[in-house]
Amino acid sequence: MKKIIIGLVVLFGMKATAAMNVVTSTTDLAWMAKEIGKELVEVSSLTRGTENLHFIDTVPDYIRKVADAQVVCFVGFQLEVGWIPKVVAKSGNAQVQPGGKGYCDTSKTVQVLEKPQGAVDRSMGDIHPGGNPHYWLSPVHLAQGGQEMMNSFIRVDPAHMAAYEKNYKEFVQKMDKFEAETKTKIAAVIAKFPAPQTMEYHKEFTYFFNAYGITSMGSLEEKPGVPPSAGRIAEVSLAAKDKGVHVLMAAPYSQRNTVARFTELSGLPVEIISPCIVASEGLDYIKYHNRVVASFLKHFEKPPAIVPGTPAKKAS
Amino acid sequence: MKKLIVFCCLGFGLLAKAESTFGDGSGLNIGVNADIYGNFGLGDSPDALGRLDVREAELIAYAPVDWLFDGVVSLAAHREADGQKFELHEAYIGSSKLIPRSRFRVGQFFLGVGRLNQFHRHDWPFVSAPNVQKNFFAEEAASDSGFEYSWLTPLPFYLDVTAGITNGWVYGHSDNQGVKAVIPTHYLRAATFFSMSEQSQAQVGLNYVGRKASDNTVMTMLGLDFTAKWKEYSQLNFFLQSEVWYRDMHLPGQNGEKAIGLYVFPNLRIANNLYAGCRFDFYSVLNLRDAFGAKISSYDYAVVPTISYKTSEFATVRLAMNFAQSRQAGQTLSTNKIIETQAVFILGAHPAHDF
Repeated sequence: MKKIIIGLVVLFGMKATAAMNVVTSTTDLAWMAKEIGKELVEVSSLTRGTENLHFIDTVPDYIRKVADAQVVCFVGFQLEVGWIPKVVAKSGNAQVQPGGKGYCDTSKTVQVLEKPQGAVDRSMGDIHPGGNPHYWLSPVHLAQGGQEMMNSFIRVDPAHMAAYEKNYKEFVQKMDKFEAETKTKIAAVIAKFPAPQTMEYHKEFTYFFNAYGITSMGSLEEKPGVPPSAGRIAEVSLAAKDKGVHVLMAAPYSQRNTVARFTELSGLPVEIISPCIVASEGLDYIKYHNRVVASFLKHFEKPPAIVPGTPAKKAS
Repeated sequence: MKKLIVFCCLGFGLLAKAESTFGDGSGLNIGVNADIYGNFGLGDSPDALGRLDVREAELIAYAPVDWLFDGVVSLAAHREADGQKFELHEAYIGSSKLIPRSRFRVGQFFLGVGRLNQFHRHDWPFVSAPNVQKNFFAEEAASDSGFEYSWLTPLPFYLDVTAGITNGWVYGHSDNQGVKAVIPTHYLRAATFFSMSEQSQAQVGLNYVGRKASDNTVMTMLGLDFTAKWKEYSQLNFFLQSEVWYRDMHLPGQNGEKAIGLYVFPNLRIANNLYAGCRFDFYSVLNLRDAFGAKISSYDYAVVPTISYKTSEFATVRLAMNFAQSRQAGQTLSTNKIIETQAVFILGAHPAHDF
């Protein structure tokens, strides 16, 4: 009997002192959670950084993980609207559902870009009424999202409020410094090239461009989430070539035949890189972000492959 | 006609209101969907309808009721043999916040068993119900009023268990009240999930449904459902859905009817937004006997190649060729070659779906 009691005390004692279980929707948020929570949190990401976050299923394994979570953090701005609500509801975990202490919508503290003005409807494509949700490729915007993450940590674990606040403050400084240094590095390379310098397949590199003063010709997609038509590809490809765009940035899930056609018509390279940390590569946010920066900058080592104003290849 | 007009006014009035409703702090979500179905026979096809209809228009509203409960109401107008029917599909209150790792709902709902039975028809991956669904559940789904409880077990793998009990006065889809059952409809489902690779996952469900009707007919059903998805960067490249069910219906002391039914539906993405699939159906009464007591082989089968064009989760167009044959004692009883068309659209909100 004595052994059982000791066992129970040890078990519940371990439970009481165990790190807070934080589940995030993305790998980038997972990294930030560890930065803000440090040794006070155990963090796991539902996705691995290779998925298109717009089209995730309510995977039962996610439900199981969320059922044991004390905090669930997600990007917000309706990016995960097709799966996170179902995952948290099916978990039967009141704490991480809307209204619960551990429900952490990081978009609440982010200064959003491209918030549509006026009425929005589905004829405009997969448009997010709250604005562009892909904010984490700007370190400063990521840190903004971290504020709500810190708030949720404090709601769930108020005893460590001071630690979370201190960690968050240091994190903001780290991100500010990192973004400023990266901006200087990028500016030194791209300043000599006229605008526009780049473009993107889908508007998921917008915060990256915005953070570093990179001018973009816009997106290859005419409407978000809708594959561009042959006419649109031809029109944009030729315009990109004419204007001296250096590179089209695209995620691995962008339509390969579309980006191939873009290159065929424009002669311009396409840089395919995941906008999220790829978990299997084992890189942290700083290292992964530096990789994105390097992937972008390598297209500015020499003048654009196509000199602006060169006669364009006729679209067939 | 009057009911249909009321339905339309209600639906579109609420949708028009939705823009302002979303911002009123109630969290009310409203959606309307329509399922337009065409059925045209080739040659001598006795089951062909030869017409295009709005098979169903459904209005669904869902929201948190308060800090603890959520509510869902869906109303549907159906085309049935005797005209357009306007009816309550589902109306239930439930919570996933009251008991840890648990969900429950009380009211009228589609029974939480199997795969097809839990989805509204406009969300199915094919046009019309396989025989096993029609015969064991309903054209769309078996629904009833009662209580359902689900528990996510605290195991190192996913195991979700659902148990339900409903009135059982009627079974399947019925427009009348029915008669009090001796043993109400009761069911149990255990679902698990596994990853085959980073990009492919599968869910398996084991199901039981039982009931003893007012005339003492005992129904026992056992089923297995299987759903698998192969993806690339979250894009569904290949999908497989299948169910197999066994049903025993008998009066005490009699043999009754033992039947088995199954379908398998592989579906392949062949181009952006375009999917090609083929459903294979089989249904058989296992213990059919002639007047002399000799066993008779009896089975129905169907092959249903289906093309789906899905521009988004809100719009789908389908074309299918339903080739079905009914055979008994080595003879063909009927053959149907039916071209089926379907157009589904969803206006407004649409709840996220399970795996």
